[in-house]
Amino acid sequence: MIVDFAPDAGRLRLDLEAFDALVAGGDADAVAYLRDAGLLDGDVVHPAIRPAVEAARAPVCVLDVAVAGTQGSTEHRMWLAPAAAACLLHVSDGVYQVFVVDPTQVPALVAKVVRLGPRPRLTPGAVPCAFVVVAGLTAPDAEQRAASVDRLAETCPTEWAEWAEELRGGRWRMWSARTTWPATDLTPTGRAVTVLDTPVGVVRVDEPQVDVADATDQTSLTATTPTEIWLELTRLLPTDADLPPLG
Amino acid sequence: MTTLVSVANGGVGLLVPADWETTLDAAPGIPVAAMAPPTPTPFRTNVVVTVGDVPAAMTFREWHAGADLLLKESLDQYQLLDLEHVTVAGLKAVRRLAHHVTDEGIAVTMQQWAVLVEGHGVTLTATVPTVDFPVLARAVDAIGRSLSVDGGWPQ
Repeated sequence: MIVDFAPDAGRLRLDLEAFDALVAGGDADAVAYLRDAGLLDGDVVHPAIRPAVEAARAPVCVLDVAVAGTQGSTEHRMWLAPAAAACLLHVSDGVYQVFVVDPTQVPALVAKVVRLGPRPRLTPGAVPCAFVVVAGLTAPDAEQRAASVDRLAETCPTEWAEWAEELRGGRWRMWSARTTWPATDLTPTGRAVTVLDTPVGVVRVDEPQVDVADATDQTSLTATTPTEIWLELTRLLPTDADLPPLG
Repeated sequence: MTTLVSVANGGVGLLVPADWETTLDAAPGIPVAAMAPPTPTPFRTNVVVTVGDVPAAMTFREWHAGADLLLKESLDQYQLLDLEHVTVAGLKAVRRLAHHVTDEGIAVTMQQWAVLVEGHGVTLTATVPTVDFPVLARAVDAIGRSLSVDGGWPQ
């Protein structure tokens, strides 16, 4: 278990095992470790991180962000409650930094994590593609990722030649942001956006659909803009109408 | 829709929804302003047009790059999300999309159209609470696209 807690500096870094123990409780050794680290005083959570723990214990919505590139993938998680959002952002080697933000600022935090920013415009259009090729960009194996990049680049239209070249050159980042919450009938539901970003333009990866003809999952890559992606990010969170009634 | 045209500040005009509260020539350099009807969010969506002199030696690129710096320095947690080259009344312009946080701690999404015309820098800035952006994005975009600068500038 790893904990680096500096309340005066407003910094908490820990691994998932420590965070889970803090939120859901752990065995005696884990609790003792959290006490030694200053996160618990008896059974009481340190005030500096109490909003984060309370949000993670009773979230209205959970948001998962995954970012993949040539060097591999990282994942972040956020728990949104009415008063605060607890954000666990991956720093390195399984260690996460905890942030607490107002829930309305979550889209901006996601934008920062995925480095959403100005990009040149691609020629409008959409490219059909087997989902397995896109999914291959997040494969743990570097060779498999490289092979998927090549296959994807080959499917691009000539209008996107420069974009395809960025893929081949390793200058790409694929990320997704996915929210989950209990629907009005209490079944899990949510929204998601997946983006393949390069310095010369950005495309949205559409949710996969099963192609009945060859029984494979098909998707499409659609040229988009940072403005449209921002709109998607602001739509990810549930509205009051999406949520079950209180009580 | 309501058409707002300020003559005092050089024929600046735009279209806003009919139920928006509007102001013409309320202050020097602010020819047009409008506010959306109140919502439960404690910040009212608004658009403000400003007109200011720009030194003759300054290029359009220098002017809008300077605006980026100014916004970054003056707005809390300013985060530029998009920058698009567009035209306004046939003139070179930019549209920027950004996030920032108000003094009251409210996350807002800002869109700004900026055009240089006859030595005057004209900006239209639309500010929307980010929680309301999904509902208001298209309306605000339409307002921005309606910006006109038809000349008649005071010398």
